[in-house]
Parts: sequence; structure tokens; C-alpha cells
Amino acid sequence: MNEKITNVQVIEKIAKEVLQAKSQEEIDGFVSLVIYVGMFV
Amino acid sequence: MSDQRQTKLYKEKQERVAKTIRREEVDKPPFMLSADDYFPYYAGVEKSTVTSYDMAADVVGKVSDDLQFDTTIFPWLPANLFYGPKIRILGGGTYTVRNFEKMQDPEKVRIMGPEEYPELIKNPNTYLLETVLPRRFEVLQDINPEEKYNRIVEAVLGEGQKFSNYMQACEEKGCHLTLSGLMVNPVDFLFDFFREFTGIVSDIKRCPELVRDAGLAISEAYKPIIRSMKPASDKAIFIPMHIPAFLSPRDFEKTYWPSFKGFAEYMVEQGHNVVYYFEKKYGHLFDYLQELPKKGIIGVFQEDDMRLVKKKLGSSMAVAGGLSTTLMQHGTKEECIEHVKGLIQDLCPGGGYFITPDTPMMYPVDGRPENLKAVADYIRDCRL
Repeated sequence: MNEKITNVQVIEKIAKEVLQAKSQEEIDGFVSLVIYVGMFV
Repeated sequence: MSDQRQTKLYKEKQERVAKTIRREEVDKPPFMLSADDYFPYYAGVEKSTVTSYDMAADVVGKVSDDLQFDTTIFPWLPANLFYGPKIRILGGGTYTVRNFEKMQDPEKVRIMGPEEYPELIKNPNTYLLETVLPRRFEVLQDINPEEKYNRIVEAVLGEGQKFSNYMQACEEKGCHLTLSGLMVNPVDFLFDFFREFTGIVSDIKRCPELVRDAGLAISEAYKPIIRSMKPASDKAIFIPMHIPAFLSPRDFEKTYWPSFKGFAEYMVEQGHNVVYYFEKKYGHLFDYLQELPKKGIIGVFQEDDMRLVKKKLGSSMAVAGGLSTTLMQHGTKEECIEHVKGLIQDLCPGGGYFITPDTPMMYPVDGRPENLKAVADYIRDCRL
């Protein structure tokens, strides 16, 4: 059975693939940015 | 205006803003306009005709050119461009956009219960993304991961880039913007997006330690964002202050202050300036505000007496406010100019004061355009 892909995993994938984030610091920064700024609507 | 002259004026504004933030004296009174939806009204443009950020930047540029204010915290945020697309792509939000106006709906805010604080405190990012925010945003629910990926890219990166380009276009038209980023203090984040007014007030009374600890946990989660931002001497992170005006000093100290103070110290340590917008009255909390970092803070005050604010807080932060929008709506040009002369005489000596409207100008009733123009021209030509 396929494991469910979490929202955190999807956003981490975006950080790596679109923003070319290399370090965990950059990835964490993007996850926080999505939650605390990007979804500020 | 020629490009060369516009560039020269912009550089002068940058320097004036940076010096005022450092509480140094400047050549003329620094004018920080806070206008938002008043921009199209002043420009004589019907909001419904503005259908792109390029058109919105033209409106902002036209007003900046005419009024020559030194800075504005952020430009006009056209609701149909700033909020509408994100709400549609994410499949939800706390705001509703109707007839080019935005309105926050309390029913859409309260999506978390008080019993959930312990899980939020353990790991705020994971708990919010996997459990709480899916209640608001369709994009975080159980949909195809590829669609989820594409929609988050479009809403956060695509729309974010459009807004950054808009800000840059406004600055290229000579309008200096103070804003380097927009955040809300951790406990206000809980209030604004998860618990709304009655919820957070009840939590502050019933479980103050949990509110405090949730604020501290969110503050930690904010830090990577701050580290990713580039500081500049004429820019500041904008933080509107919401719930403290309604709290007693005792409740404020127990719940709001620990994450507020810690987060302020962190931003300043990282080289950022921070502009707090103190909505309503803050006199009962001045003793705390005196303990904020002694550099890099700007306080915009709405209902407090600015002369008292400068006396009490002027040695800890740059302060802004005082320009009566009521007078600009109901007074004559001469009365408005006399009022501004008084602000300049009492508050400009020693530096660290921005003349700013006492309420953000949103609607036509926030000031008659001819009075605002008279005030702006007086400030532009005044020398200290």
C-alpha cells in the first residue's frame, strides 16, 4: 500500500526542486514561509 | 519629472528614512504616508478599473509624484489582485473579497480549539500543516499530490513574485516603501488566524500558560524566515499589533509579552528594523515597550497622544503618528497646516519622529484630498 504523502513533504519537495534549496535550514525556512506568510489570506 | 531627478529624490528619501529610524536629526520633517485604499481615491481612479499590478503601480506612482511623501509602509493593496487569486488557488482563506473590498470573516478564523494547544506547542509547523490548516485550505486536504504541489507553487511563489515585482515597480516610480516583510506577532497570529477575538480572550483567561507557550513555539518557527530575509537600513519588517490593546498589563505580561519581546530581540539581532503598528491605545503598556531593543524599532501610534509617546518612548524607538485624519476631513487647509506646524515644532527636535496619519487612510472620509495635498506640500518645503 502507498504511504500517504504529507503536506510537509510536498512543501519540502517544492523547496528542493523549485527553489533548489540545499540545506535543511533553507528547507525549514520555506516550510515556515508557506505557513506564516504564504497562506496569510 | 525626469528620471535623474526622481532617482535623486528617492535616494534623499532613503537616507532620511534610515536616519529617522536611527533617531538622528534630518534636513526636513520625514513624512510617512499610510494610505492603502486611499491611493486610488486620491488619484481619481475607480478601483474596479484597476485589473493588473502594472496599473496599480501607476496609481501609486502618480500619488507619490504629487505628494512627495518620504515613505509609505506598503503600497495600495488592491484586494482583487492581492487576496482574490490566492484564495481561489488555495481553495480558502479567512477573507472574502467582494466589490474590490476585502473583509475578514470571524466564522472562517476560528478553526482550532483550545484543547489543541499542547499538540501545536510540540511541533507548530507539522500540526498546523497536517491538522489545522487543511480545515481552511482545500489545497492541503486529501487531493492529488501533483495538483497540491502545483497549486502551492502558484499561490505562494507565483503570487508572491507578482507582489514583489509590484513593490519594485512602485519604488522605480519614486515611491519609497518601508516594508521589507510582513509578519504578525505569535499570539496575534493565533488570534488573527485560528482563535478570533472571543476565543483568544477566553484562552488568555483560562489557559494563559498554553497561550504563552504556543506563542514561544511559533516564534521559534518564525526564525528561519527572518534568517532568509536581507536587512536594509531604510526598510523594516511590518508587524500590526492587534490584541494587546484589549489586554490588562497583567494578562499581556503573562501571555503576549514573552514571545513579542523575544521575537523583537531576534529580528534586531539579525540586523532588521521592525515597524510595529500599535492599533488603538497603548499607554497602559508603555513600561513594557520601553524594554524593547533600543535600536531598529519604529512604533506607529494610532490613538495615543504623540507628545506623550515621544516623551516616554522616544529614547527607545523612532515614533510615528499624530497627523489628525479627522482634521484633514473636517478642517480647513490653514487649520491642517497649523496642526502640522505644531507636530513639527514639538516632535521633530532630536530626530526619530515620522509625521504619519493617526489612522491608515482607507476611505474618502479619512481626509479631503486638498487638505492632504496642502499638508504634504508644507512638509516637503519645510526645513529643520
